[in-house]
Amino acid sequence: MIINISQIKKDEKERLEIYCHKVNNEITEIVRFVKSRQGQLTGIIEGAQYEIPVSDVFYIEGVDNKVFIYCEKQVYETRQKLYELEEALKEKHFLRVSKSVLLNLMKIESIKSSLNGRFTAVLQIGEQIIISRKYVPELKKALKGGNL
Amino acid sequence: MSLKEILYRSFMTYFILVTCITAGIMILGLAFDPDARFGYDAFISPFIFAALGVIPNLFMYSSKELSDKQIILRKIMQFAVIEVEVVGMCIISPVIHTEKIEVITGVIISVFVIFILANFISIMNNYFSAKQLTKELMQFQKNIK
Repeated sequence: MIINISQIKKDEKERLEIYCHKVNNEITEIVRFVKSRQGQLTGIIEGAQYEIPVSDVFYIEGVDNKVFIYCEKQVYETRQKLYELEEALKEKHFLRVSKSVLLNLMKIESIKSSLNGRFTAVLQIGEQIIISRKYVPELKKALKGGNL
Repeated sequence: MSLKEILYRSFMTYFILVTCITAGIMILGLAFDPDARFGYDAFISPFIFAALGVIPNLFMYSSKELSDKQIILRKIMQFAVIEVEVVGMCIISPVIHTEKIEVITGVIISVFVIFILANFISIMNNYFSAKQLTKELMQFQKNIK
């Protein structure tokens, strides 16, 4: 695949065009990645695809090789891997808080102490997510304004 | 926490304990029995006591995230092991009169109180850390908005 990057004037709209023979998995993956970087995720419910604004997402969880996006009222499945989403959503205030959960820091209401040196994030919808000890230093760094 | 991590931590704890026990023996020995003389075998005891001190830590290992119930259960197991170790050491020691019920009861209660106190301090420390994190989170969210 040939990759061309051209710089344009500031008043022109930035765009990404893909010229391909067939829209295969690779192309869809690239599109999903770009969308997630722009603040949109693609979620699936019963085969139907939905565009989800990143700001509506509370957390993303990986369960048995499947990845689910949790919003206030809906849970969507996504084909993206958790590590891909982690990378794509770094600048959207998402942080890995355990082996299987990516949490939107903007949706946390408070942080509670839990047993064995762990913490629990209480979300605005009342759900509680465990923050593993391993990820606490990253959380502290992120809240202090460090890179996510 | 991974097995590698817990083994590394235990290894570090072990050598810290060896150093602390050796220093403890030296300080207490100089204070209460400065004329006592020992053979080379006395060097073994800090290694043995440190190993016994590390064993209870291994009960908290799990490759998966433990639930609160599982943590409580493991803490109880950890406590039981510490009790067995301390009481066992007291029985072996010739200077502690474990044949007296009040002595053994005192040891068991002391271990219990120290265990509770240590965990209480840890819980309180965690509680204040959580409070601080919530404060920082609020500030973070305010800055972003």
